[in-house]
Amino acid sequence: MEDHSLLLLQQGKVVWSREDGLASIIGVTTSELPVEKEGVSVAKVELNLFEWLKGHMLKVKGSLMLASAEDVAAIQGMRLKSSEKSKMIRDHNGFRKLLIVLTKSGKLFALHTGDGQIVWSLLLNSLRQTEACKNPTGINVFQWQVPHHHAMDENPSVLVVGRCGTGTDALGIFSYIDTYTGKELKYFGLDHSVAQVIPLPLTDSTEQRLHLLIDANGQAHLYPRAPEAVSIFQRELSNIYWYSVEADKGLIKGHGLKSNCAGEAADNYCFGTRELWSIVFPSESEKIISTVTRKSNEVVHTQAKVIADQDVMYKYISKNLLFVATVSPKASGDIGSATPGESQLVVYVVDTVSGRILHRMTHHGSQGPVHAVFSENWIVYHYFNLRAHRYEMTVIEIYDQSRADNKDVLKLVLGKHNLSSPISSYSRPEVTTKSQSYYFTHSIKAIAVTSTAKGITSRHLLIGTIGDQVLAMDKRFFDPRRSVNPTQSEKEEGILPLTDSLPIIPQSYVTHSLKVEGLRGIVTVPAKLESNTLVFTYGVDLFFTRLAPSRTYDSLTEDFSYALLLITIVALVVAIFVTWVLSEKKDLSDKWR
Amino acid sequence: MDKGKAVMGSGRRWAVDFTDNSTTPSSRDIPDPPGFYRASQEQDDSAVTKQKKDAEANWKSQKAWEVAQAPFKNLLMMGFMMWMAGNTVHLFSIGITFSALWQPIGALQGVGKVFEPYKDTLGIWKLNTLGLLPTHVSDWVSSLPPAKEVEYSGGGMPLR
Repeated sequence: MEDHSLLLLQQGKVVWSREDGLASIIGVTTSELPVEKEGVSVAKVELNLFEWLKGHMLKVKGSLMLASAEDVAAIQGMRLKSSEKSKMIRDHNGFRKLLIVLTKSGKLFALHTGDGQIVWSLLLNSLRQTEACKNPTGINVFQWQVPHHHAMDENPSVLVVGRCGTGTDALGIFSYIDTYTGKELKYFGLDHSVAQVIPLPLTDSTEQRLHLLIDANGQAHLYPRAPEAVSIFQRELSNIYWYSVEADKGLIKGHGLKSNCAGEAADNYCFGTRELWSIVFPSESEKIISTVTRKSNEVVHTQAKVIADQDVMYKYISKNLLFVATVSPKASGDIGSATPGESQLVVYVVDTVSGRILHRMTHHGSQGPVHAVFSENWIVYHYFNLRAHRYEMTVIEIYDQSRADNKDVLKLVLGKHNLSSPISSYSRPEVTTKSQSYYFTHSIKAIAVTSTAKGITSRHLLIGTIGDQVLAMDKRFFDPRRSVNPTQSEKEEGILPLTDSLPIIPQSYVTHSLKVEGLRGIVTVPAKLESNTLVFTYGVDLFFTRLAPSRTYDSLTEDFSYALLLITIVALVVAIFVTWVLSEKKDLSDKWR
Repeated sequence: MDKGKAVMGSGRRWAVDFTDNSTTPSSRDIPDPPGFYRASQEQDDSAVTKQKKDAEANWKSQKAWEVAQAPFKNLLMMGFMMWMAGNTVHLFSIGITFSALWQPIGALQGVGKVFEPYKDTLGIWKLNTLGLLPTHVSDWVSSLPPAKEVEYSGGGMPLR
């Protein structure tokens, strides 16, 4: 079928249908469920008294083992409907969300995180074959409107960006979809191509996120097309930059924005760009194979890292860093296509605002494929070491050396420091890096890091192995300060002793005994409860779970006995009263002696 | 003299008995030899009483010293217990440290006010070695949020 679903038709009737489009997910985003409102019935089935009685009778029959097979199925169905995790309203801990996934067929699904049911699905009209667009393809889905302050009554919506054909100069398509109802609010074709989509950190008064679309000619277009958005954007115009990575030419270029467009299609929402910097990689020895940046919505709790002896190191946390991995062209094929002598892997950490190369490291005798993840102030990447015939993982941590002099306690107590003042990439702060490499036995398909609401919980790296399973490794294994013989203070800090390879503990597989067939991507979503994070992996199969990387330190266990606590408190109060009375009596009798 | 009288019996006194007459009061009828003062007897008495007084005073001072030294001994014992508590933060060491801190407040009613300041400093010194006093940078930076960045940059590889 057009939406990649399978149907069994028997004598003109649909016996079953399967949404096999879910096996080709190309973009994932999340949406919150509606808040519970008074007077609005959120249950899909309205239970009146008779039905409740019938359900109760069935449950009694089931417990007495008198139920037939159909009764058992009915009981099971009732239990599933009324269970906590599949309710359609927001919950206090943020565990119930909607996962909005865009598939290759142009169909958008909303999956409920509680039990994975498809809440709504929509074959986008904008991405259907029409006369004008013979071959529309979706590119990705983005958060468009997330109302929480100003527009409380409106439903959140997502933006789907597509293009009319397969070439990079095909015209773009926009589509806004309401996530509560699953209806397409608006769709229109664009008059320019789409080379990049940059969500900006600016929102307008209706909580719509401003997006900048770069077309193939390097012009930037602002959406939503509204004067208010233009005025908000004009204020920040000089601080917004964009960069392009051209892997085939071995170039990275950084651009700034001009206040208006040149050309015939000039309007208020078009902005020209000018090139600011470029990094040219020597094409005979380096070919770009992988780039990775930090997630823009990542939350970091603190910029200081407390190390042994109560010393402090300041992390260099900048959202504008880019990690680039290049290999020698001879070794850019499969593993083993080049000898160790002629293959090398060079990694760079580049500041994309000023074009400054903060760090460069060469791994001789190594080649890709490189899978990397960038979070906070560290990068972990995985590659193959031809000399050792093993896979390796390396961690790079970046620290701000220019803040290291802030060790005066009195100044910190009184607040007379400049550690919280805004920083600029043009101030070229001095940075130091620490790195370490470890052997790793598996080849990996995808790598991600857990993210929590406030960034306090320790992070686990989620590694999607070649065996289609997801392994969760504590970040402490990837600590460049590990040494073979840690000192006492380092041991107290929690630094593990250095081993040459990373241990794979079978209990740390997130997928337990299951396999996510054809694993392609791992997405982590923060829940509202700080100690938990939601993990969604997709491929041919879909897998969703909830992780607590530091165990649930901020909520009571489910079997906490409140009754015992109450009884203890009451007993203690009674005991206090009784002993007080007794001691008063004793004092009185002593005085009378 | 009685003896001499008793021996003679007939009224003729020609033998003088040199008995000790320093203590008997009946020696009053014999005049004292010139240069002899009776005041030396009181001096001997006072010597005894002085000895008694000395002994009393010594005993009193000894007792006073004991009372005065008791808090110091207590301090030494507390110091030893602190040392036994170790350098890590355990339940025992926390309990000992806090009991050391509350003790001076309890000892305000007792004798030995002079040793109080040392108890206070002992508690604070232990807190310091346990690392509980916020004197280091690391105690104040943990609440520093990351600094905001002025510029924003986005982009990447061209979307396929």
